[in-house]
Amino acid sequence: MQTKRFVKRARGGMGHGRATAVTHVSRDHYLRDDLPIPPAPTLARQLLVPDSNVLLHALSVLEHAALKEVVYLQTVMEEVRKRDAQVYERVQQLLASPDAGARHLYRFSNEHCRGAYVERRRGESPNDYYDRLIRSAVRWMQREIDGDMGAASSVVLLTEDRENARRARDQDGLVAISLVELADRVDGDDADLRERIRRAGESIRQSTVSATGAVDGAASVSVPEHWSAAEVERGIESGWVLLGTYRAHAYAPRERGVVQVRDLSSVGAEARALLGEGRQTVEVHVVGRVGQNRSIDGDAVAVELERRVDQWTQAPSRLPRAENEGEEANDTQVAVDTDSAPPPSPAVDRVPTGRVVAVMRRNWRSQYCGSLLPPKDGAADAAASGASTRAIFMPVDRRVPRVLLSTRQRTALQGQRIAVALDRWERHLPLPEGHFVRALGPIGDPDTETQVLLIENGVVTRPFSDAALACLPPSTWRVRDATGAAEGHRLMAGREDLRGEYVLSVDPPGCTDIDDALHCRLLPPETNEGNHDASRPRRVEVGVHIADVTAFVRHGSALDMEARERGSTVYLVGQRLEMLPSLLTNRLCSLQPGEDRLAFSVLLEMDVETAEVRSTRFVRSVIHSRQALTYEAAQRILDGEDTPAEAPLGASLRRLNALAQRLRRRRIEAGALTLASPEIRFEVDARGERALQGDSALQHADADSHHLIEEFMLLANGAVAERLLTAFPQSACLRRHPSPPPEQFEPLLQVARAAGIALQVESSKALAASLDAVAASPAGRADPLLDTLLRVLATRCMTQAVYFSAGLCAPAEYHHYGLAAPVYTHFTSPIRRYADVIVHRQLAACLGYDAAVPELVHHRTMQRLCEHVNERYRSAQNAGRDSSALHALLHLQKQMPDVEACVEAEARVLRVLANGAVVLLPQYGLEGVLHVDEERERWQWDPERGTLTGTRSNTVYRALAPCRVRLRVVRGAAAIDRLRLEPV
Amino acid sequence: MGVPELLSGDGLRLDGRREGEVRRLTVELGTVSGADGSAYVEQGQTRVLVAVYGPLEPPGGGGSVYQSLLAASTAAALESCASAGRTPRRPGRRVHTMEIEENDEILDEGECAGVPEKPLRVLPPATAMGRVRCEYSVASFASAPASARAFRAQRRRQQQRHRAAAAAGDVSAPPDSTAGSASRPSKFERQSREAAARIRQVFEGVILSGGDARSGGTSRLMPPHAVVDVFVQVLQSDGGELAVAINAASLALVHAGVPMRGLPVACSATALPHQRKLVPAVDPSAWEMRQASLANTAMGGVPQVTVVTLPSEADDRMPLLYVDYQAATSLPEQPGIPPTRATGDLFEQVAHLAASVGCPQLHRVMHTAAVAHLGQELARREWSATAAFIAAVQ
Repeated sequence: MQTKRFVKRARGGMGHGRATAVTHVSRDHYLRDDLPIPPAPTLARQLLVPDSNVLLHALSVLEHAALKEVVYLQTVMEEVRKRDAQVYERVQQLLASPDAGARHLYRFSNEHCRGAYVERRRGESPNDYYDRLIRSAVRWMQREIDGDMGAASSVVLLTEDRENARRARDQDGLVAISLVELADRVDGDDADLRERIRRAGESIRQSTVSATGAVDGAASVSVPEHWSAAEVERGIESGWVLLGTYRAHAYAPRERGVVQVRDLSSVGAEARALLGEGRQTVEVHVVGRVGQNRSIDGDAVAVELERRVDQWTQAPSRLPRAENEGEEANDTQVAVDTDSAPPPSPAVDRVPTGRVVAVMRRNWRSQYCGSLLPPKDGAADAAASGASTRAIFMPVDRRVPRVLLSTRQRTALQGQRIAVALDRWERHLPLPEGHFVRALGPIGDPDTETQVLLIENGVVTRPFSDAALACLPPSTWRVRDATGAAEGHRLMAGREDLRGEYVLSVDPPGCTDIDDALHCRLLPPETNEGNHDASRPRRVEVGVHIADVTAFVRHGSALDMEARERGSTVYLVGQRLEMLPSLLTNRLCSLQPGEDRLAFSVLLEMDVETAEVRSTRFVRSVIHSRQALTYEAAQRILDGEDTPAEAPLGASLRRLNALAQRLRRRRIEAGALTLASPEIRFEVDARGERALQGDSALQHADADSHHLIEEFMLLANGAVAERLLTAFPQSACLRRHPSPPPEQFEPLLQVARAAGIALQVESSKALAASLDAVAASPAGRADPLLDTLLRVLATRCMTQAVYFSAGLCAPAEYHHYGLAAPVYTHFTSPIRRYADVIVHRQLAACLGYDAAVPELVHHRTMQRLCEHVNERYRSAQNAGRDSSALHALLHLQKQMPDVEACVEAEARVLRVLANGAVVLLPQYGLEGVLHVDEERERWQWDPERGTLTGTRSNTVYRALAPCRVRLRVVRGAAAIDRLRLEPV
Repeated sequence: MGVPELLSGDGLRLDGRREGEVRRLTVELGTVSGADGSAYVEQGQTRVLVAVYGPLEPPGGGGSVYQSLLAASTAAALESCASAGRTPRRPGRRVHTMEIEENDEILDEGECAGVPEKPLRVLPPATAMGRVRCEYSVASFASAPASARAFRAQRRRQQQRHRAAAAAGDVSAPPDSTAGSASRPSKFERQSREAAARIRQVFEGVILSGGDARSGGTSRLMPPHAVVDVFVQVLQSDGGELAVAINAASLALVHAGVPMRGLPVACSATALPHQRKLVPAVDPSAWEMRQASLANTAMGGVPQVTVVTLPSEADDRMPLLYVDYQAATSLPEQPGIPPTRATGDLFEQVAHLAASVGCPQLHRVMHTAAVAHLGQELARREWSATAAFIAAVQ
C-alpha cells in the first residue's frame, strides 16, 4: 500500500446547534494507489456515474432492475447521506442486495484514490468542489478504463445540472448527459425503463423550475418552511414545542388533524397550565394547511402550541360534506384557511391547538393504493398528445392526501387501481409528489379491491419462502414416526400419552384448523376424605388440549420468522391468509378426529358441583380426538334432540356444559362484559370464521355450545397466564384490557341520558348490570334492539386490549376489563395467532421442556415482540373488517342494477350531530353517516337532548330512535364505491 | 443526519485506511536537549513528547552510581536493541515472555466472564519494581473541543460551589477557589494518573534492573538503586494516546540508554460497527472512535483495547505484554446478546489484530529509528568494534 497523507482542516462547531467557538479540527486523509477501478462496462453501452441530485430525485430509476453498470462515488454517497437519510438507506440496500453484483453496480471511494482526488481550492464553494471531485473521478475512470477517448468514452457522467455538464464537456473533455438523454440511450426493448427515466428527468426539471417560480408567483400559497433541527430543539427548550405523531382527522383529513403527544416532560410550566395539570398525553389539534404544514398521517412531527387560548379551535361537531361533490376542482387554489373551523364563541369547549413546525421523521408507507382522478378539460389534450402530464392520484386511505403524479400513461391508468410511492412535499405545492409503482387491476373488481385492502393494511401476501418450507416435516409425517423412532425423540421428550382419553372438539362448520379440543373424565372418588358420598364422585378432570405448534415451529427458524412477520392468520370473506403453511394449519397441527396429534394440554381438576379448580397441570401430550362436532351438532346433543352414537360423547358434553355454565355465571358476577359490535352478517359459504376464544366476547354467540368452548378457553388462558407470571414475572407475555377512563364513556352516557336511560359506568360490573337492567326493563323488552345499540355504543368507549410484557406495568394494571380477569393471556390458538406461539414457548420453557430463549425471557425484547404482535393483530382485524365491508358493498350493488336505484331500509340513530346523524342499519349490520339536507331547511341541534329537528318538515332525529334511510352506492372521488345514506 | 459509514463498501475507513493499517508514524529521538533521553512520536494527529531522566540516584540514598553507569547502560542499550533486533539470543539472556497462543487461553477466561474488567497483564516479573516513575500530562490545547468543554464544566462547578458557599453565608470563599477540587481529582487528573500507572507497570517489567538473576552480569543492568523518571507530554490527542505514549517512552528509554529486555511496542484497536456487526480495526483516530460510538450507542459504544507487545524477530511472533481493555459497554448484562454487543470473543479478535497486525507495522519504524540512533551514538563514541557489529546486524 502506498499512501499519501495530508491534513484536512475543518471548522466544526460543537454543541447542539448553538453557536459556540469555532474550532479547527485536523484529520488525516490517506490517498491510496491500490483501489480497484470499476471494470469496463459489458452489460450496457456506458458506465453511468450519477451525481447526488440524480440520486436524490430519480432513485426509482436507479433502482430499476434493467438499469445496469452504475458507479456510486463516495463523494455522491456522502452528499446524499447528508441530504436525505432515507434515500441513502435505499442506496445502501441497493448496493448490498445480491442483485448489485449481477447488475454491475459498483462503488468507488474516489476521495481516497490518489489519481481521482483533487484538493479544494481557496475560496471554492462546497458545491463547486463536490462537482469538481466528481468530474475528476469520472476523468480518472475514463483514463483507466479506456485511455483518453474523449467523447467516445464509455464512462458517462449523469447529471441534471447544466452548468456542471458544460464544465465536464468543455473543461475536462468528459461525456455528460441528463436523464432525458439517457432515456434515448437505453436499449430499444425496455420501454418501461425508458419511460421512467424520461419522467424522472422531467420531474427534476419541473421541480427546479417551479421552485424558482414559487419565489415570485406562488408565494401566497406556500406554507412556512419547516424548522431546522436546531430551531426545533430551541423550541422544545422554550417549553412550547412538543414532539408527537400526526394523525389526520377521520372525517376531515384535509382540514384538520391532531398531534398525539406522549411525552410531556419537556412542556414548559406555562404551557402545562394551559393544557391542564397531571395529563399523561395530550392531543394538539392542528387546523388548515398552515397548521398541518405538509404532515401526513403517521409522521413524527414537532408542533408549536398556540399560546392564546382564545385562538384555540373547538372539537369538530359538524360532519364534513361528502367529498364527492367536486371540491377538487381547484386544487392549486386550496385556500389557506386556518379559520375553516366555525367562528369561535366563548362558551364552547376549546381543545389544545397548535401548528406543525417541522416533520421530524416521515413515516410513509412504501406504497399507497388509489386511482387517478379524471383529467380536467385542459389536460385532456395534453394527455392525448402523449406529453408527460401531471395527474392527481386519489388514495383509498382518506387520511392520506392526494398526490401529484407525473406520468405519460395516464390514459392507460384511468379506471385502474394503482399503487403509488410518495417522494416529497414541496413548500409551494398544495399536494405531495409521488411516482407510479404498479397497476393492480380494474377498479371495482373484487380481486383488485381485496388486494388493495391487503396492501393498505400491510398484510403479508407473498407465499412462504423455500427456506421456511424447508423447516416443515415431510407431508407424510405422523406422530407414530416420532414415537416409533429411537428413544428420546426430540418431539416426544416428556410427553404424556393421553390417547386413552375421550377427546372431542367443537367448531364452526367447515373448520379445518382445529386448535383446541377438550376431554372430561370423572375422577375416582377419593377414599381418604372423610365425609364423601361414594355414589357421587365430586371431582372431574377436564383437559384442554391445544395444538402443539411450537413442536414444529422452532424458535428462530426461517419458518418462525415468517410466521412472526405475518403475526396472525387473516380472515377475509371467503378467503384465509394463513400464518403457518397449510401443511401445519390444516393437517399436522389441526386436532382432527381419528388422528394422533401432538398437543399442549392444560389438565384441570375441578369440583363437579362448584366448578372450582382444585389443581392445574400443564403437560405436553399426544392425544387422539374422537369427535369433531359443529356448534349446531353439539347444541342438538345438549338439547337432547340428538342422541350420539357413542355414549361417552353425550356424557362428556353435558358435564362440560354444566361446568361451563357455572364458570360463566361466576365470571359475569365478577363483572365480565357482554358487548356487541355491528357485524356484517352475510351468507358467505366456506368462511372459516370462529368467534369464540379470548376476548372475542364482543360478538354475540348465545348458544350454550358456544359458551361451552369459550369458558374453558378462558379458563385455560387464565391458568396459563398465572403460571407464566410465576416463572417470568418480568417477561411473561400477557394480555390486558385497560379500564377505559371515565370521560371515555361520555358519548354513551350522553346518548343514554337523551333516551332517558341511566347507566352506571364506574366499573365493568356496574356497566354490565345496568346494561342487563336495560334489557330487562319494559323499554328494553319492547325494543330488543335497544340493548344491542347500547352495547354497540359501549364497545366504542372501550380501549383496545393489548399484549404486553409483564415488566411493562404494575401488577394492578394486568387487569382484563372486558373479561374481569386479574391476569390473562392467549394460549389457545397457536395456529392462527403468533402471540399464542410465544406463550407456548414460554410455558414450555418454564416447564423445562425447552431451554428458555433469551428473547423470550428478557423484558425489553419481549415488549418489542408484543408491540409487533399487537400491530399485526390490529392490521389483520382491520383487513377482515374491510373485506366484510367490501363484500357488503358488492352485495348491495348486485341488488341495485343501475346507478339510480336505491334500497330503503330501517335504521337506528347512534349519535346525532349538528348536520346529520350516525346511523346503524340492523338489517345489514352496516353503519353510516346520514347527512340532512341543509339547503332546503334549517336544522336545530340540541346536543343535550340528542335531537336534530328540521324547522320546516318537523323531522326529528333522536338518539337511539328509528328512522328510514335510502341506501345508494355511489362512486366517490377516488373511484371508491361508498355507501351513501339519504334521508327518506 | 446520520453517522457516516465507518467502513465503506470497498472496505475503507473514514480516512482511507483499511482495518489493519495504522496511521502514519513519525519518530524523532533526542528532541529535548536537556534530558537524558527523549523522543517525539507523531502517529496520525496524535503527538506525544517523552523525556527521560536517569537512571538517577534515588532520592535520599545509595552511593554514586555514575561510575558503573556509563559503560553498563550503553552495553545494555545495545543489548536491548539486539534482543529486539536480529541477533540470535543467547539462552542465558532469554527474556521470559508469553506467546500469543498461550495468551489466548487467558483471553478465553476473560470471555467466560463476559467483558474483562481489569487490564490483562502478561508481564514478566517486574525487575524494576518501584524503579520507574512516570508523570503523564495532557496539554490543555491537545484536543480543543474536549478541553474547552471540560474547562466550561469546571467553571460551572466552581460557580456552583461558590453559589452554594454564598448561600451558606460563607462569602469569604473566592469564586475560583480550587480547594474542593484538591480533595477529589477531576476526570482529567484521574485519567492522567491511570495512564501514568499503566506506563509505569509496562516498563517495570521491561527495564532490567539489578537483582534479576537471569540477566547475566550486573554490568548489563541498571544499577539496583537507580530510578528512571519518565515525563510524558501529550501535545495533541487524536486517539490512541496511551499507545503512542508507550511507544515514545520506549524510544526515549533507548535514547537514554536504559537497559531493557526489548523494545516494547504498543498499539490501540477498536471494533467498528459495520452492517450490524463489529469489525476489528487498529489504531482508530479520535474522530473515528466518536463516530463509532455514536453509531453503536444503543449497545453502549465500542470497545477500545491497547496492547503492548515485546517483539522479537527470532520467532516471528509478537509476545504479548499487556492488554488494556476499555469496555465501552455500559449496558446491564442481558441474556440475549445482540450481535453488535462486544463480547469476550470480540475483545480477543481486537487484541489479536492489534498485536499481530498493528504492532509489527509500528515496530518496523521504531526499530529502524532506534538502531539508527544507536549506530550514530556508537560511532560518535568511536566504539568501532561495536559499530561494526551493528553494521553487521543491519
